[in-house]
Amino acid sequence: MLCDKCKKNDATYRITKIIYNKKVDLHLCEQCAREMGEVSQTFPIQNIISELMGYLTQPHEIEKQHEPRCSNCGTYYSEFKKGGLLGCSECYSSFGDALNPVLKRVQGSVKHVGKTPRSRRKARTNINELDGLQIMLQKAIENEEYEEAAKIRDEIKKMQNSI
Amino acid sequence: MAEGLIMTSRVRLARNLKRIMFPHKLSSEQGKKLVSEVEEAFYSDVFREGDYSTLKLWQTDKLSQTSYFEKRLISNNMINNSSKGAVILSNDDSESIMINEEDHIRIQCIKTGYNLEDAFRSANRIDDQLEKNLDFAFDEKYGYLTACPTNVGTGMRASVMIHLPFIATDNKVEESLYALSKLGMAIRGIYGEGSKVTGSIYQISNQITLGMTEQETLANLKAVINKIIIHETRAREVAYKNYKYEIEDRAARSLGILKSAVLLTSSECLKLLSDVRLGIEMGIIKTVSIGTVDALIMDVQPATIQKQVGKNLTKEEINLARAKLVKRKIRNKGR
Repeated sequence: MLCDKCKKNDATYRITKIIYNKKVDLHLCEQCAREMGEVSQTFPIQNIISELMGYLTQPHEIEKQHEPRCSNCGTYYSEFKKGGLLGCSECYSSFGDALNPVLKRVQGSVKHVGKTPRSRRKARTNINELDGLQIMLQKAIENEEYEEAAKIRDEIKKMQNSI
Repeated sequence: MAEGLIMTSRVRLARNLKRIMFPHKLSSEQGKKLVSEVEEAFYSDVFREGDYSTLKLWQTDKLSQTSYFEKRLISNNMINNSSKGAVILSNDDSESIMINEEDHIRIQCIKTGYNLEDAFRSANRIDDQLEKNLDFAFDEKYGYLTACPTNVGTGMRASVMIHLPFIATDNKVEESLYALSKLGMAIRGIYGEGSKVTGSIYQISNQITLGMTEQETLANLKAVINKIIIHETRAREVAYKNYKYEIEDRAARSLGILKSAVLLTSSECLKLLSDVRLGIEMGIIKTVSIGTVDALIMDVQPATIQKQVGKNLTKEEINLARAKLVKRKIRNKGR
């Protein structure tokens, strides 16, 4: 079978996707699959973290000048990729989106549920309540209870302003 | 018997100060400043100077540093960071706060035996004291922020040191290792990452720190440890049934060598101590206590021996001093 995209090479990958609840099969050659970011290259096992990082950023290599850099300590994302250590606490927000999948891989979860410093405990309950309200809002909208939804929305706004 | 397999239980909490660069980015000056900030935050009515003391690594020699490492009071990482690393130690060495290790602060509590809850309670108490006076890097979503993402969240690593001679001879370690990694736990030799296993002593610890509370992590770890203890105990029972005299002979001979050897290398000594410990655990040896053996396992390491003697020694001199130390300890405390 020929590749669905270039129609030249033999298709060696079959990629199944669900798009708008419909199953779509794509048959691609290795080159097209790589170009579309559907497959990643394999790496020798050296350092789990840097391997993960390589894996996750491979489809779109970051150019040095556009590379994420921590606004607080000046650490480049590539430094972290190489050494496995972040530069300061603010790196977590500076590299936020890039870090999320790494954490998910290493830790299996991205939500802390353990101890909270005393000084932060109040803010944390508010945030948990906020999560709860957002779920309620979604449910209200799904059930077409718009009056109720408006009330919850106002409640959320009030809470967001107070945090 | 089951609990006798576990030598020590340890809990470590990683903490960092907000917005300040992590230790590997700090200059010696900045690192030293941070050491005094932590000291100031820690010493108080509850944690008095005198009950605890600060050891500044830049004021110690290489031999002492290695000895502290052998006793697991500091990590290898700290020796490399000795120009800015320090450790606050309790008098009995059971509680420590490493400053400028991989993270700014690593609270570590070690208890003898199977005592993870106690170790956690002690570490948590120190954390409560420090957080009163220091602004810790904490994020609502990610929890305590650490230099390496493998510690983020609770920042907690709980572990036990466990004596597993039969699982070890059975080559079942590989199997256990695989099963453990699936459960987010790891098993390794006694001196942490990549270290060689000596004297059938292993360390089992949690790997996951995010998405689980401290209590859940401890409960999971204990469930895994209990499983391993059951395996080890069963392997021992089977072995004892089939090779009763061989096992008794090995324990008694090992004790005999320890009592009379003139030269002992580190690896031979640890192996013999492991055999003797097994003999005590199985009720074969009654003249030596487990505590004596465990203390020796720590004290027979090369740098610690040289520190006790008070000078640098050649390999042979170390082996001589080691045999003397073992003889003395086993004779004095054994009866």
